[in-house]
Amino acid sequence: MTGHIEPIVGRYIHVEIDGEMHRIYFEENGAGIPLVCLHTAGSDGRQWRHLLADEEFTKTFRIIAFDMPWHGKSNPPLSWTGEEYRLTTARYTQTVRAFCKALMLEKPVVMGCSIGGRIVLNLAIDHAAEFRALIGLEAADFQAPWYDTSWLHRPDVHGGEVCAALVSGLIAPQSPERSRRETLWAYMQSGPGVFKGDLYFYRVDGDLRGRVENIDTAACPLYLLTGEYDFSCTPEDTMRTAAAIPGASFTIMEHLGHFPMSENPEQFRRYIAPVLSRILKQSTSTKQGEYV
Amino acid sequence: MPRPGWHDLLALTKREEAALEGDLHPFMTHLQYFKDVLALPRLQRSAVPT
Repeated sequence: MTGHIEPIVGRYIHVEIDGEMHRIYFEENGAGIPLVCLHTAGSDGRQWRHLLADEEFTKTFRIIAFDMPWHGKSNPPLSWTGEEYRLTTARYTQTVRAFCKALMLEKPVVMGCSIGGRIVLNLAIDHAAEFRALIGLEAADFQAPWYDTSWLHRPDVHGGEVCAALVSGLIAPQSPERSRRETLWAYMQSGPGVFKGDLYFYRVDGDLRGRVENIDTAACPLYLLTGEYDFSCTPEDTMRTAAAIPGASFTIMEHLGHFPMSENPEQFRRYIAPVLSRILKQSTSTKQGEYV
Repeated sequence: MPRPGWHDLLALTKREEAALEGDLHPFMTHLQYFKDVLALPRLQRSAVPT
């Protein structure tokens, strides 16, 4: 055999969400502290492939990325009869918790980007005790809308192309062209109406203003990192959110936009490495010799 | 390289430094083309020896 085989392994797990079994696709690599990664709206777990293949991080972290139902290789549930897809705060929270439970993950770290960052904040508000640490990328309690989402799903506009074109400006201009193209390719492949349905959570149902003040970072550390070129969730949005949460860590990432892990993996690594190192130290100092 | 918030047409409309008016259908169906045309000077500038 001469071909290079990556260490990432993909499998399916059957997870009960809201009383119905869902066939969820996930990829993983590494051993140690479970680190569950959540993709952005209208995309899928491929965004995390560079982190999943990181030789250093996977020595101490079991890194896992799953495709949300309706995304990537996780199909809509079998009960679906064609109605419009809409993600809600309750459904998203249930999905993340059910996935972690199904894999029997012991106090995982959850890192989410964009809508994943928003739901991380909701996990911190309502379920902090279940997690070792939470990391929100491009996360805020709310951000102002900047286009009409009806463009995303209509018969006279190509959904894949308009979704990709809209988010293309959220990628920092310094990001490598190959990574920019790969990030947008996932948006071009998303199912019809899925990006729009995710944004229902982001823009309508998932407004966390007035709730993030209840986050207890002593119960679960919270790290927020936002790219300077993200004009959807701006650094100011994240700064405002972090300022309302005592003990929250906030970092602005230079030369990065809304998709740090996929648009410029090398640059993102510079920022996420110290965070993972802190979580590792916190875990090992809690109980010598074991990741607790 | 443009500063953050000044690097994309829709970033400019969000900060109300630009406005989109009229029949937007042709614009939205060719959105990436319009964005790429506006970004061309970045490539030319980076190609000029300093």
